[in-house]
Amino acid sequence: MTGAARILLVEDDADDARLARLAFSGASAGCDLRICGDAEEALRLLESGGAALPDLVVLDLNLPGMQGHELLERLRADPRWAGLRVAVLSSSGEPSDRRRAAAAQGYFQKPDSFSGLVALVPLLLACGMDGAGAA
Amino acid sequence: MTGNERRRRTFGLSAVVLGAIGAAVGVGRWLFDSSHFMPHGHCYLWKSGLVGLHVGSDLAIGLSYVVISGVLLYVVHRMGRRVPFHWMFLAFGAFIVTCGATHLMEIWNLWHADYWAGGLLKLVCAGASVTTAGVLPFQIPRILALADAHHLAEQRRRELESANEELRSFSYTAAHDLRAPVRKIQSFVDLIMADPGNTMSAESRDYLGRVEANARGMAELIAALLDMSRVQTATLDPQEVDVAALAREIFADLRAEEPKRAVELVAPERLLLRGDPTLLRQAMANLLGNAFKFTRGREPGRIEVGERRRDGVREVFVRDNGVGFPPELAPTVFEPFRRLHSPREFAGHGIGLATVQRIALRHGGRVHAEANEGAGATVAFSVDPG
Repeated sequence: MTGAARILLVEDDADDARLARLAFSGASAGCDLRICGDAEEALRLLESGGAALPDLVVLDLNLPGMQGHELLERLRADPRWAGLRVAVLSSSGEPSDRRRAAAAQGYFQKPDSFSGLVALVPLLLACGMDGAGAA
Repeated sequence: MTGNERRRRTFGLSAVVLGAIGAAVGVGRWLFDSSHFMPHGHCYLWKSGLVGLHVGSDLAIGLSYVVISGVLLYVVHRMGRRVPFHWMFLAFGAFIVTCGATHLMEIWNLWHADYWAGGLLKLVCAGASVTTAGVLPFQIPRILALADAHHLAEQRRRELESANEELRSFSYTAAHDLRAPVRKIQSFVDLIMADPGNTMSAESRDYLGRVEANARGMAELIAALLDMSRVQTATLDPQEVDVAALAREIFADLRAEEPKRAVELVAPERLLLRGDPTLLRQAMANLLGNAFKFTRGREPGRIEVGERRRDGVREVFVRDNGVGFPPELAPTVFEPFRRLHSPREFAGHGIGLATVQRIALRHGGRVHAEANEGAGATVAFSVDPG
């Protein structure tokens, strides 16, 4: 990954999306952040994108309509997105949610403060790097 | 008693016993006197097909009745007094077993003609049958009531189960959905505080600090609620857990947060409990966290972890020499949100001990709290009914 990381954030909550945009904008290498409000929109974007797949999908689990878990399963089941890296960023710390998201490169609980979120950005970006294995 | 007396008595007793045996033999001879009768097989003209049909059928009926009464007897034996109308089961058993015996006697009499004995057996069977038939109709209301009660109990159980399930999912969802806005309040306050361009007065900054502190308190409260609701929904994975080792680990973490405090932990080398490792860790963390908190300002603090028996049940206890509580409040300390100290003195949300109680209950155990003589408190829990 060179230059600005292309990140697709799937997040339905406007406040959380805004906080994430602020946090990612502070990343040293810069980020090209796109935000989708639900899983269907993210799927459409990925399907139309063709060659320009994002370096990382940051995925909320609790979404309107199709849930984050389901989107993850779809992405993992389709050979077109075999190399796509996904990090889950959810308010849930439940072990069952973590287990179901085992196919993602990382699982992070949304921090309780903005400084916590800023501190999380490098860890999220690391999930998009080559060599980040399936967590 | 002289030797003569003893001999006379022994002789008298022997005479009675001999007389009784003689009488029984006489009655037996009469019952089994078949000299005047033909065996029943003659009536069937000893046709092998007909004799076989009767022997086979009587044998099947007789043996089945023996099995049925055996089953009834076994049920009453296993369930003891819990089986409703257990005496009726026994009467039924007697009725069935005597019926079976009359059929087996029928087979015997094909060849032996002991019709008096056979008739007497039928008389006994008639007694049992008439008793059962006479008693049974009067029991109809009770039997119907029992069936109704069973139906009602089943319905209540289902309602309770579904209410429980709803409550679980409610507390889980509530805790999750409550967390999100609090998290966002904290984050945006963070952003305002960190904005170098804002020209807030010192007063506004103080207010914002209070908003932040309250949001943090709420986040902690929600996290504690979530922990408590997790105790209810967690699947137990019982293992041998060394709670003394757990206590040392937890205590080390607590010490690391406040290294200047003079508090010591006294715990045995090993203290094994059979239970879910995650839940037992949570219980110990809550108990030690309390002990650590309430010994603040009463140093040197001493926290003791150990085991004891109370009413024959093995308990693990955590004892401290801290601020303690008035003995009359002991029964209330496990109520959720019950706090015995002002937040100015000791922070907390009153869920820690309620969670410990739920952990104990989920393991089939119980909790107990007592104010120590002098100072401090002891809280104990068990993980099985003992």
